[in-house]
Amino acid sequence: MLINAIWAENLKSRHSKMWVAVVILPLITAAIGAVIYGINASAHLYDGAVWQQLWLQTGLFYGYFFFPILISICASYLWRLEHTNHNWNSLMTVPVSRSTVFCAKLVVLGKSVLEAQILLMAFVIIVGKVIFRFSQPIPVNMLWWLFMGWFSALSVGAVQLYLSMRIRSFAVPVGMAVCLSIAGLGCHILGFSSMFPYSQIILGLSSQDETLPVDSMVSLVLMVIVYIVLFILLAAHRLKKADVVAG
Amino acid sequence: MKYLRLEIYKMKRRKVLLTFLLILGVELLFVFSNYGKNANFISMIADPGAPAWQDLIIGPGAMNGLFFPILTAVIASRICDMEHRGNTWKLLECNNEKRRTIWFCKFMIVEGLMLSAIMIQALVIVAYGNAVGIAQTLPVSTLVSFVVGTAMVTSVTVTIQLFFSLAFPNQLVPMSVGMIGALIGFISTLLPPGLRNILIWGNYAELMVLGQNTSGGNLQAAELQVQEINFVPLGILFVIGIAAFVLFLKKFERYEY
Repeated sequence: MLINAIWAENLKSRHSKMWVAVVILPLITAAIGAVIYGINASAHLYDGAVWQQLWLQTGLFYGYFFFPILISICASYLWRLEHTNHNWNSLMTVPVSRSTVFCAKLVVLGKSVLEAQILLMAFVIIVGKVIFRFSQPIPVNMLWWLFMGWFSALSVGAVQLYLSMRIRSFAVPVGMAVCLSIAGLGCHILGFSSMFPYSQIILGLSSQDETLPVDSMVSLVLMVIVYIVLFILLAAHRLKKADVVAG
Repeated sequence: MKYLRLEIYKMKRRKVLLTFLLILGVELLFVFSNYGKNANFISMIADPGAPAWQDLIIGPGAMNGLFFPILTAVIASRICDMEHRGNTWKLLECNNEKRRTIWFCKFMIVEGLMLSAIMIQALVIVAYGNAVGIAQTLPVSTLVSFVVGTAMVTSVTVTIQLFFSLAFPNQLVPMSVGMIGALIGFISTLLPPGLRNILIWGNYAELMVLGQNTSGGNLQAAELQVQEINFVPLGILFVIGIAAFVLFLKKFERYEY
């Protein structure tokens, strides 16, 4: 049933303009990272791990604010269709469990987020190899940046999907994502990175760390799963108990 | 005036003001909560020759590049999205009022909210500075320049966001524009002047009234330097913004919904 629901969600978002955000944000992020790296490199501020330095300039603010904003926009888009044209009534009558509907949207959101991550890494490699001609090999750490960045984003995805499900407006959950990102940054500074979704994403991308935060991996993975399960349950409960407002 | 009142009436129960205050409140909280722990700022408070006020002004100045594009996008989207639902455009077309009236009313509301955000920031700066007892005399002209400069850049972003929010029923597009604007605005201080001036939201970096002296080529220089706001790029942007306002208005008037 979940496969069918995912298929249906994919179909619904087929002609969407979600790809615009998914392509443009990583592209601009990589371009800006390249410009800042170039300025700093010309002042001889870097030595040693050049890939890490490039990733620091590229992924720092991306993880703090812009990755959560991208996720929130995609999440709002996935619920937008249900909030228009009485589609809530149609959705509530399909023979699929409430949690399956939410999980299907989370899977589609996860797919878009993974695409954004892969694109960002591809752009970083292009910047490093083509523009700056790094002689150092592409680091294995890039796999962590890619997959842990993506995995930790799933908890933010679950939260944002829940918010977008409850709030009919497209824009308000995006505004809330900005505010929650600030809270995430606060948690990260205080050392509770793995405890809050919006700081988990900073830990997952680990753009500031010279060495990968392997010690935090267990708590990070656990907490991400906890948040995903929690918000699936909350969403399913909400959809079961509360009446929908179609229109 | 009647339409403006109607627009305000339509905002009722849409929690636009609440969203506005939440985002602005988070920005101000984030900025001013850091000053209490900033040793550099604390050391400047008692020194009448130190640029403590300028240091206080660049706090919101640095974060406006991130928050204002998103705040503008959220408010514009919130007040325009309701017209795309149901057959509201057809209802509006049936009224004996021109489209430009709708445009002006919506612009005035978004612009009014953003200008009040700038004024609130200025008031908070003055209140915070007085509360901690900054010894330096308040540089009124610098504060006014900051307010005027921020208003000039913000007016252009309001025009852009309003047009995209009205033109696209799918609010993904204006929100993506807002997100890209926030990204450019936030990191604009790290970009070279020419490049950031071309990128509309990058002009928020021109409002930094305090910077580091990097004239010697040292990018890690610690010496602080009071800077005058360069109104030339802001003026050019503002004129382009007026042209864009007229162009977008014409486009909107002929837009087929």
